Amino acid sequence: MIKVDGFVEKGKILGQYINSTVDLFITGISSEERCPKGWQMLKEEDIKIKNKVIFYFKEVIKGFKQEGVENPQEYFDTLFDIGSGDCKLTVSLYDEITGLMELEKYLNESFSELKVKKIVIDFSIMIKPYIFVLLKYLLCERNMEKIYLLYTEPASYHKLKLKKVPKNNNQEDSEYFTKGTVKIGEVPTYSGKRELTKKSALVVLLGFEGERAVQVFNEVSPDLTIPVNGFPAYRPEFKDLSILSNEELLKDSEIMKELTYAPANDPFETKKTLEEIYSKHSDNYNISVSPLGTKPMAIGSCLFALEHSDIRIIYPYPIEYNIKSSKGFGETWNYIVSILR
Amino acid sequence: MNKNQKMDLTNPFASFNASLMNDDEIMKYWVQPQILFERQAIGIDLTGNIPVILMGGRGTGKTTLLKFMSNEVQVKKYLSEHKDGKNFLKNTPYIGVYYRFDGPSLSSFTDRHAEEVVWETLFKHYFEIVIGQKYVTMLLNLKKNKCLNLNSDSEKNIVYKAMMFIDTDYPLKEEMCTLKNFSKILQGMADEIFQFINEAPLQKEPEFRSRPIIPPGKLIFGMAELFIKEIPEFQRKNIVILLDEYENLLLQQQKIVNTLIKHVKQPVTFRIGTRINGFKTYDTLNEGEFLMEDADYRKILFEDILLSHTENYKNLLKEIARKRLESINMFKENDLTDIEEWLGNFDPINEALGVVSGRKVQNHHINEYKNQKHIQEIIKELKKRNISDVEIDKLLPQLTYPKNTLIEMLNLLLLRREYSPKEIINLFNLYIARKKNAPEFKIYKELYEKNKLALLFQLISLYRPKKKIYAGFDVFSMLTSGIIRNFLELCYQCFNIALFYEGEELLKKRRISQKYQTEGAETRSEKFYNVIDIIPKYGNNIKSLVGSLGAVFSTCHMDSRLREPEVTYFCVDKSLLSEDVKKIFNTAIKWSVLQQKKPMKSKSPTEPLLDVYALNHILAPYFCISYRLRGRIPAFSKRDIETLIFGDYDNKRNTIRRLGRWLDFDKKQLTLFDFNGGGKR
Amino acid sequence: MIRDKDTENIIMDYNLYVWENRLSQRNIGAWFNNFKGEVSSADEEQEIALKLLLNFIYYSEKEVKYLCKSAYSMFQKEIIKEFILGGRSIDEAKSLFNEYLKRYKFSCIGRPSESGCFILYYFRQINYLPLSFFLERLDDITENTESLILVDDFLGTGDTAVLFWESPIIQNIIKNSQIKLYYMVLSALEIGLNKVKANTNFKIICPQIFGEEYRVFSNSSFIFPQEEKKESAKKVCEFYGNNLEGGKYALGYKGSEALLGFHHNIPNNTLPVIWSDKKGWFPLFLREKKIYKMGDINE
Repeated sequence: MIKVDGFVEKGKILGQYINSTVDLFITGISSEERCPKGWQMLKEEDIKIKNKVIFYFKEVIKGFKQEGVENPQEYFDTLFDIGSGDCKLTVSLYDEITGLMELEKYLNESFSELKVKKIVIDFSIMIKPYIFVLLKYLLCERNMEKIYLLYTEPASYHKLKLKKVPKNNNQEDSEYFTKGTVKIGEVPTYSGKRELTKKSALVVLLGFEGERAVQVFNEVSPDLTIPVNGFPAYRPEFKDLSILSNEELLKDSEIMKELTYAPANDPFETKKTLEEIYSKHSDNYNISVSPLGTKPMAIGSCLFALEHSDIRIIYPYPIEYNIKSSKGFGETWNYIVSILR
Repeated sequence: MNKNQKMDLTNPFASFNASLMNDDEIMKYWVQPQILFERQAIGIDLTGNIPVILMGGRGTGKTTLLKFMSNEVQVKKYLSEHKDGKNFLKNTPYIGVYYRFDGPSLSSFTDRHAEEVVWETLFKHYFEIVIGQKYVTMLLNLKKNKCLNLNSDSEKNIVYKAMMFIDTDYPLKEEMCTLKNFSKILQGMADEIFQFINEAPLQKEPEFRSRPIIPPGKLIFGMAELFIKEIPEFQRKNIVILLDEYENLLLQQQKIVNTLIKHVKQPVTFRIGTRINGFKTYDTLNEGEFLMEDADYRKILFEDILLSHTENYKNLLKEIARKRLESINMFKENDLTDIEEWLGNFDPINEALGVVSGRKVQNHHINEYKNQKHIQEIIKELKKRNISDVEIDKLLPQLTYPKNTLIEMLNLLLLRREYSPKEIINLFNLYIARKKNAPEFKIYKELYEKNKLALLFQLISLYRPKKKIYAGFDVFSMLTSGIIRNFLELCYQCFNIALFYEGEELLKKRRISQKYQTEGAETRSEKFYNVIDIIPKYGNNIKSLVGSLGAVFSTCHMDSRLREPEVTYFCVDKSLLSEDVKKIFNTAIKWSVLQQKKPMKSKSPTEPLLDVYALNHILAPYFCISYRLRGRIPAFSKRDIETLIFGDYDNKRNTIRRLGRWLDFDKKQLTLFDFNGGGKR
Repeated sequence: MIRDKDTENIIMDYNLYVWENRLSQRNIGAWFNNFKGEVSSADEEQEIALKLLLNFIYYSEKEVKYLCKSAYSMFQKEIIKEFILGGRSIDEAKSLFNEYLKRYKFSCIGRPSESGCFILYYFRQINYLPLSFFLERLDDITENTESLILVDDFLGTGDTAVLFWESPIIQNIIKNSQIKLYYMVLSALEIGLNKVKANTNFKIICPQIFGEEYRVFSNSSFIFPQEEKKESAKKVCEFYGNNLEGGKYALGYKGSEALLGFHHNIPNNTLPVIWSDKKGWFPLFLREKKIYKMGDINE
């Protein structure tokens, strides 16, 4: 049984907590501008990074090639100063277990004991299932005691599917985060535990793709649904936009009345919100969480699930991710996570 | 006007998800669908021995029905009507245990690292545990509510024997033989399965080590038999296992449960709730064996039954709505609980008059309305016949009938169909004079009755931007396509709009205006269309197909000759379609986007029957088409279907034009606006 | 002005899901009709009004309560961070915080019946803080008090906070003790925050900050990004605002140009075309007036 705690810091501050060395830095590649920001910030703080693992997602490479970039691998090699001690894992964005297996191979070869190493993960561009399985592996299988997470906000999203303005018939395809659904499934290793005598509750961390929330709801058909809105949000108006985007789910008064909140950029406060829900309902309900909101909120639900092994994480796996869903970059946040056993 | 006073009037239809309803709410809002329960005549007994498959789209009422049949709700219902639960078991022929198959969890019973046979065994084991646990919960529920007098000795006896089904090597100590302990044991076994599922993805060769593993049927049938033997109150009762969302099972899992259904043992029987095409297979685990309708199960197709008993269906909707309205004090106190009163019923004749002039024309002065668009069309037709202006002026009063614009439209239609003005006038006069014995009266009457609504659509197309009204209780009933939730959602939308615009004034008016009802219908329709692409795997393809079909049907509604009135369905020989397209169709049916109807004869007796598909009528407002099943497109070819699903913009457009017989129309450029949804405003 | 169905639906959704169903179509219609075309055409003015309507940020009762929680959480983290940087573990830091909390006192900025003090009730409730942590009067501070946290709902120009800092009672506290002074405000305009930072030593805790781009007519306004449209919108709002509330308030108090409101009230920093009810103007969200003395209707 583990207990997870931590705190948030903004900007170039990680150096104060990890002194000057990081044993391992993990991130992935993306065409989003915020992709290298975490890495750059560590460099600016003069933090020495001994080893790097970079997930070279096949779909991102393909995307670059389709846009005429001849050798995208080289581009990222330079961007991340890839050296001989570093590891590039060429894996699919859609197969987090294989990605994890590849990482495990590398870690087994390179580290005898991971528990006390200083590991920093920049998860700004990583998709949620990946983050979940990575953290489960590092914190539970490899018994790490502390981990440092970085997240850079986007400056804006490419033409959010906003309900704020009247629709026109010519909305471009670029206005999506994900397309289609392969399945609504449990994130591997987060199937939770169900007491067969209890009813089911679904906690949905609201995002901007309301139809995905509806899909998850329809698939789970819970007895109780608790929507959690990201608030305070990255921008003040986002709190309303996410509500309106999820109108199809929230129009049922039984769901709307349960609406609660968690800050969009704080996993620990999100965890707190989930803890409150858990303490109120876990006696009578098996609780599933669907992290459709921001990535920091997803991290919060991950940490919560690591502490409560009966929690199930449900995710609508899309057919396609829009690898260009955001532009620019905003603040970088540091999340210092501690594990107590 | 109150400045910023918050409105206290709640939308009575604001909650409509059956899954969110607790037992009290299920009871509160329950309306017995007599047409489903009274099926004994054709061998379908919802509480009898033979397994029954309840098939219907989301929102048809399957979950509500199954939950209603559960022991929890039935006991609550009994207690609400009686002093105590003493005679509950005496008065009930069955005891229901409800279980819903959870899609995400079922799909975890498969992982690349373990062999399929492991997962198959695990699922069988899991299903036994689940139902066993449901049985225990049922007994505890009956005991708690004093419906069952189970003393500790009887309880020990039952639990001891039940444990023997699981583990003959380590029998439970007698003092441990309580239902609660048995429940804990079952839960412990389930926990071991969950642990395996959680750990398997991270292991190279995961192995499920826990023992024992319960053989299939041991608890499901064994415990039920035990109850009958050991509990006198259970004698001659059926134990009905109510399995909901069967479509969530994977293929192999369905085979496992199919096997149990095939070899069902009394007193157990099954009621399976599933979407249409929710059965991935009817095979069992035994080679060559499968479930056969009538022999092994009976089937109820919700939409079909509900739609084929129109009056019963409407009464059912009224009753459901009444309970919702009654739940809000303001509506109840003011006796505003009749949804038919709220929605009214609207006559197409009045709607037509509204399109043309907005009010009834009092006097028959031809000059007064000669400039009206539909009259202009009549004049155009007459001119085509080289009739002089003077002659036209004489003919017009005989061809027009201001009291009923649809009659005028019929006359226009007959002109377009090459009837002579003289013929038309003759038919028309006899009809107006009500010369019922005249054959011409019957001809004209039939033409009018058959084409009334279609003519209204044509009329509206002449008077753009006027829109078709979708309002009235009868119309709403038809828009639902047999899916009760559609009705609740339609009511929700129009009450939403009406409350926003009128507030508490609405209570005085006691009627939601046509305008708000239409807006509500359009909103619901648009939302239904917009979420089609979230259907897993084939959502985008289905949306493409539906968008194209809508455009074709919408176009056909404007056919000047009304070769087929109110086209809302099409035929295709499904056997010619590719596997991919078949899957798309099946998925569309499963999600009630398309609805399959009785097969139709093709033109030639030697050709196979054609499969008939209609768009869910809820889409009618979005595409501005009819909500009835009247007219159809001649059989689509395989190529047509594939183009409508997979084709690029140009090919799709050409196919739509051809299918909609666009070239027969007056010259008009097909715009993207028209192409992407005929009804898009 | 005829609004299309899509826009009407959006307004309806905002009303139902964001504005706590406070408005009806009639209220909204009456508000739009305020814009009669006295500066440009009625249609143009109502287009501007629509823009304002759809960009108005409203905090529901639930959200106000959650902001109270958020603010407290931020405060807690501030303190805990200091302990962690001093070498403590998170758990230790949290325990220390709970100990130190007994030496903190909460109060409101402004007068007891004003909105800042109204918030204090929510703040106490949602954070499960005992009454003993709250001062009835600032004079009740004892020598055991280590920190004083002043709670408020909104910081606009910063004038109130600066004035409060300069007040004799606070100056007395500063002079005669080592008490740390916190200003905890649920939301703030950045321009006001900067003023408070420059003119006081309050440590500021604020979970929701509105940057320059949220001032309706600022250079970086995202509500009116195009210069021409912004100027014409400003003219309209200024004209009506001036008519309604006078020069200082024409575009919100001292030109704050805010466009937000709370369940319990609308700050006067928000454009008065939103909240004023003078001279027959029908408000969208009425601002409840503060009456300082009988016969006085003022800010």
